[in-house]
Amino acid sequence: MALHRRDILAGATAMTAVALTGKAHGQTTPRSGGILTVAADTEPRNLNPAMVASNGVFYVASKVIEPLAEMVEGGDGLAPRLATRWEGSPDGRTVTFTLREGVSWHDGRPFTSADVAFSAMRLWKPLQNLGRIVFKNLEAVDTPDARTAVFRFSVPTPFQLVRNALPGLASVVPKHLYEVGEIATNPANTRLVGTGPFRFAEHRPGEFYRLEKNPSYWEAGRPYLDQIIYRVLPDRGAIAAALEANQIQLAAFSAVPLADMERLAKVPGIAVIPQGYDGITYQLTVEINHRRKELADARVRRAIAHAIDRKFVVDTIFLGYAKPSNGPVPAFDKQFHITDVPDTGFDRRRAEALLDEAGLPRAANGMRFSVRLLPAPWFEQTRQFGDYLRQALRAVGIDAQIVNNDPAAHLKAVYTDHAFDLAIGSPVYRNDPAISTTILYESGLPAGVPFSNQYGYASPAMDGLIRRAASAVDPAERTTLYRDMQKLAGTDLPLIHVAEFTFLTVARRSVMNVANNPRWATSHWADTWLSA
Amino acid sequence: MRDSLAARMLGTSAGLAGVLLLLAAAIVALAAPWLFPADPFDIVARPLLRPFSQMQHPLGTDRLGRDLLAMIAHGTRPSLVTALSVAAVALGIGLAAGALAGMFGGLADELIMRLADALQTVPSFVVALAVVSVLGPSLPGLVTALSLSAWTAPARVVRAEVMRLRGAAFVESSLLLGRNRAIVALQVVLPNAVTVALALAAVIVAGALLSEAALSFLGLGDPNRPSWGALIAEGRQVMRTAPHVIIAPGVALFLTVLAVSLVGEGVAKALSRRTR
Repeated sequence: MALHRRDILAGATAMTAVALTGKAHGQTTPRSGGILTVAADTEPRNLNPAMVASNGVFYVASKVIEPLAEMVEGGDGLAPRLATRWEGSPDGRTVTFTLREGVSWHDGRPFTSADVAFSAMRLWKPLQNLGRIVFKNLEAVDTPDARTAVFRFSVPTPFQLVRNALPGLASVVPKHLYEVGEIATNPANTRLVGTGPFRFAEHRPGEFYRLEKNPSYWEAGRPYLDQIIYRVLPDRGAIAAALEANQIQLAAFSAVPLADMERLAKVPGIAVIPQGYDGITYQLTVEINHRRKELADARVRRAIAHAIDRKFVVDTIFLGYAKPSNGPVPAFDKQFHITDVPDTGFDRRRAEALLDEAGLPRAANGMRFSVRLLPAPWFEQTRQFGDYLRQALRAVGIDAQIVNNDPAAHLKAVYTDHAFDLAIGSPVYRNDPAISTTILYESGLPAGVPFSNQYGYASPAMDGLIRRAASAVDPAERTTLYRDMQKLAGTDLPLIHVAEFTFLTVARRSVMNVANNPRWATSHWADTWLSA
Repeated sequence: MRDSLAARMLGTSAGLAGVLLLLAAAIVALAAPWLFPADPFDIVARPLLRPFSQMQHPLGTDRLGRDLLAMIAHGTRPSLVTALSVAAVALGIGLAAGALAGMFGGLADELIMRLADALQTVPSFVVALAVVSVLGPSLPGLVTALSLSAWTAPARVVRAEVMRLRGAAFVESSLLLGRNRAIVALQVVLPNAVTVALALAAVIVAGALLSEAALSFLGLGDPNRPSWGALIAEGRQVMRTAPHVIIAPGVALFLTVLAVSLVGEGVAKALSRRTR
C-alpha cells in the first residue's frame, strides 16, 4: 500500500495507522473483535422484520433476527440460516422445512418449529406488508417435531415463489414473547429478541442503536465483531465527513450523495463498493394515469418512452451507477428476465410521429397537451429524473408541469386520489415477480394500496397471465408465464421502466467481507470483520 | 420633501451603490426573456461544466447540463417581484394598523397590538412554511405567507411615532375642527410618521428575498420556474465536487440582499441627517 501525502501530513499517528493497515492487507485470516460504527439515516418506529419487511428495518434488525434462508451468489441462490433444508411437494400444497439444531434465542430459550409456525401464521400472513400476498393461501403450519415445520397451502402455491420469499419475508420471532398480548404493540418490536449473531443492546433515539456480540451463536466462532453501532446521521454531507474522519467505517444504501462518490473513492482508506444490492434492485419508472384520455392510447405511452434518453439518465442522473431497463424484471434475475421486448429506444422523431398519429398535433404554442408530473420525493434521482422528463417531454410537444409533494402527500395523490397524469416511481424488485411486481399490473385493486396498479390499467390478458402464474406449480410453466407477462407489458406499456439501480456502500478499507451476498446490507454480517 | 430625501440618500455612498446594484438586478429581471429566450431548463451542454470554460455558458452548467446563467437570470424576476410585493403589502397593512392603533388607543390598540404580539411570538418562517404548504407556491400564496408576519414591525414603529405626534398642536387642532379621528390619523398624522417606517422597508425586502429563497431551498417553491433557492439546494449535493453550482446563485442572492441593505442604510443616514 502506497503512502499518501495526506497521511504523511497528518503526522506520526497516521504513519502508524498506515503501517498497521499495510500489515492488515496482507492479513487474510479473519480477526475477532472491534466495534464497527455505521451510518443510519432513519429510525423505524417498528423494527420487527417479521411485520415490516423493508430495507430500513432489515438494515438493523437482520443482525438480530434471522430468516429461514439467505441469498447467496451462485448455486441455487440460497444459503441455509435457520432452516437447513426445504422441499416442496409436487402438487404445490406443502413445503417442508428442516430446522437447524442447537439454536437458542437471545434470552436462552430454545428455538423450535413452534416459533416458525407462530411467526408464519400470526405475523407473516396476517400482518406483514409483503407476506400478506405470498402467504395469503397458507392454511396451517404443522409441527410433527421440534425440528420440522410443514407449511400447508389451501391452493397450489409455487415452491419457486416460497423459496424466493425466504430471505426477505421469512424472519422468525420468538413465540414465547409474542403469544401474550397484542402483537402490534409488543415491546419486542423495538427491543428485538432473535437468534442472530448480534443481540440488541440499546437504542437512544436520535443518537444510535447498539448491537453486541451473541456469545452463544449457533455458528462456532462467529460473529467476529464485538459490537455494531448505528449512528443516526440524517445529513448526507455529514455522513461523508464522518467517513473521511473515520468516525464511522461504513455507510450503506448510497447514504452519501452520488456526486461525492468519485471524490470519496480517491480518499485513501475508503472504498466505494457497488456490489451487494442485486437482491433488492430498485427500478425507475414513469407511472401513467390511464384515466387521462390521451394517455389511455398505447401510442402516446410509447411516444413518451421514445422521448426518454435512457443513456442520459444512466450516465448523468445516476452517474453510471445504474442500467437501462426494458421491463418489470431486472436483468439480474436471469430466471425470468427477457430481452426481446418491443423497442423503446430514444427516438424523438418516432415519438413525434406516434403523437401525430394519435391525433395530437402541436398547437400554436408548440405544445400538444399538458400533463401534471409528480416525481416521487424520496430519492435524489427520482426528483432529478422529474426535472429531466419535463424537458424531454417538452421537446416532443408535451407540456409537463411538475407538482412537488412531501412523501405522504405524494402517496395519497398517486395511489389514493389518482390526482396525477404522470408520476415518477421507484418500485423494488424483490427476487420474484409475484412479491412486489405483478401488483403493478393487475387490475381491480382498491384505491389506497401504495406501489400498486392505481393507474387505471385493466387488461384481461394481463390479469389472466398473472392469475395463472400465481398458481403455476411447475417452475418451467411459471417462468414462461412471467416471460409472456413481460412481453405483454412491453407491448401495452402501462408503465415505462427507465432504469434499474441498486445502491453503493462506502466503507473504510479496514472493514472486511463487505458486500459478499446479494442483500448484504440487509443480511446477518456474522462474517464481517475489522482488520487492525 | 421626498425628493430631497431621495437626493440625500443618493448622496451617501451606501445608498448610491445599493441603488446601482438594484437597478442592475431590475434590468436583468426585465431583460431575461430577451437575453435567454429559450427555456432556461433546457439541457444544453455537458453536466457540471466549469464556469468560463465555454463562452456560450459563462457560469457553467448544473447536474443535468442546464445553463446556470440563464436559470439565475430567469430566477431574478420572481425573487424581486415577491420581495417587493411583500414589502408593499406589509408596509401598507403595517402603516394603517399602526396609525389606527396609535391614534385611537384603548380597545382598537389592544386588538391590533395583541394580534401583532400573537404573530410575533411564532417564528415568521414557520408561519410562512405553514401558509405556503396550504396555499401552494403561487405568487399570491408566497406574498400572503411572507407578509403575514412582516407587517408587525412597521405597525409597532408607526404606532409609537403616532402616539408621540398625537398630542402635537397640529393634530389637536385638526381634531378640534371636528374631523373624524380615523381620517386625522391617516391624513394628518401618518404622513409625518411614515418616514420612520421607510428604513424598515429595506429590512422587509431583504428578509423576504431570503425567506423566498429558503422556501424554494426546502422544495416549497414553484418547480416549474427557475429559482435561486432551488438552485442552491441542488448545488448543495455537489458542493464538494462542483462548487460553482452553489456559489453562482448564492452570489446572486447575496448581491441582491446586499443592494437592498445598502439602500436601507442610505435611507437611514438620509433620515438621521434630516432630524439632526
